Amino acid sequence: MAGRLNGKVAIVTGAASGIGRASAELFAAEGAKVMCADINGALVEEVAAGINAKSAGAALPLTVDVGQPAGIERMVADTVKAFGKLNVLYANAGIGDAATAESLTIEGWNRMIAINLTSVWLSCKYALPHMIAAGGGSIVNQSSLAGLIGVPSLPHYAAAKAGVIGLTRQIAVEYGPKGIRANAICPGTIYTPLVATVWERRGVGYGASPGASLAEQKKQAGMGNPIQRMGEVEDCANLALFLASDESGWITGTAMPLDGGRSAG
Amino acid sequence: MARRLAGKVAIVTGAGSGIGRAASELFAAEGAKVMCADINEAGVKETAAKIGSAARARKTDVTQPDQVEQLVAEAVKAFGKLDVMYANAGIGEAGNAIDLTIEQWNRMIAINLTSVWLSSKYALPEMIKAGGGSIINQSSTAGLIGIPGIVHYSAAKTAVVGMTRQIAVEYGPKKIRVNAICPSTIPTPLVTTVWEMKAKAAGTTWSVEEHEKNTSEKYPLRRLGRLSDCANLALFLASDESSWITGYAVPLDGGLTAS
Repeated sequence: MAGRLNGKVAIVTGAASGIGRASAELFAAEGAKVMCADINGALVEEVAAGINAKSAGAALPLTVDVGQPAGIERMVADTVKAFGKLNVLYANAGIGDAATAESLTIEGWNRMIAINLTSVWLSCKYALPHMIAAGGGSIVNQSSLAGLIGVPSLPHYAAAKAGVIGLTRQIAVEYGPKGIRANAICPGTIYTPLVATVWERRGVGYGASPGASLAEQKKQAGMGNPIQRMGEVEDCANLALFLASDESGWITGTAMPLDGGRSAG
Repeated sequence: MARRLAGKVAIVTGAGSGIGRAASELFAAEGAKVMCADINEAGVKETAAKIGSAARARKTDVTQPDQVEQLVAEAVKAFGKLDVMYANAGIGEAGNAIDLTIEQWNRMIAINLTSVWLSSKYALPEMIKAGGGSIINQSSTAGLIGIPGIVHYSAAKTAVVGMTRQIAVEYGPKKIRVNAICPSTIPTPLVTTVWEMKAKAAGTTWSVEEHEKNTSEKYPLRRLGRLSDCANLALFLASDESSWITGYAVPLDGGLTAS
């Protein structure tokens, strides 16, 4: 059976770990050439090497700070130089951070907006001309459940992620006539290395008792949604694949909840 | 590469033509056994014949509880279980809030809403037995935004979205997922029936090509939908690839509702 992304060239940002890594691996397994971009150069080189061990020449690693416009411009240029074109952008890179609207500092706010919102626009800004040249393309932007509903302790994160949804709709409407689609993914809590780190720092996962096993912590964290499990990186990679592929060729401007039904209840 | 619905058993209603036929064919191509149901016996037999041994055909009036119950029982009898219900059957009809008759209203609610609930009612116990499942309910862009000239259709399709969310929340703990598909215009036999009625009422003529030319400007992607667009989305929602997605009404509209 033909790969679902055969012949396509994709950029995945935040590809060194978690959702980005799973998506880069899945895109390549489905036939795409993938530029794996991340601020963590050593890790993203490992990811690309792992992909190339399975399908030689399918991946390239790139060290990029998406907080820097010049880096994003170079990321897109390097991709087109290496693989000849650009069909898919998965603007997945981002950070998490906890604060309240009162305790948040202007530095914390500006950093969040730069990394979780401005970088998404810049990725689109530099990708769009190449997609127009290619006669179309698919942009997948990482938003969050916090972009759809209120979640405590993340005012700057919620603002940035809701901003991604508005940006995505606008780009979808403006560049649809050029054959370019733009959709956002809005995940609830997915067990990624980033989440694991936060749990380690807290001592235990949300809703779990101190000393709980990882399985118990994940179970507790998943109880808040109808499907009653946490998300896994594969859940998000599978949705990103569907949105990247031509199978979703008439879907654009959506913000898809990926949350085990949390936002339906 | 493994097929995406390998080992699964699906029911597709409205499988005698259009989206239901395309979805049945795609589900079977991806490894599912498919019970194809339609009130149009000739059409649904043709669908099943095209697919071959992976499919069965059953004439079903989805507004009749006993017939939907029988449909589910037949699928389980033929294929051993039920994993996927695509409640796609429906009708189109033009009407506004003043001129619509109570008979038109009741018929629309029965076919486009009550039948969707009945499909869940009889599928859910089998899915609970199977340890989970995926229900896909056909809604419409008219379930998300107002569209002139289809008052009863809008009511039914919006209600499908509400019911989808409710069943998703209630049966999620049983690992049953429920999502709705909200397509804008896909030129199926159902849709062209509405065009014909509207044209007749206005004393004009119509054609698919003319309609696409005149209306594609309103879609950011500048085209109408295709059967494959809807079948591909239904496949994704039916498969385990979407196993953390539930209670969502997915717009399938070339960007219409985003603009």
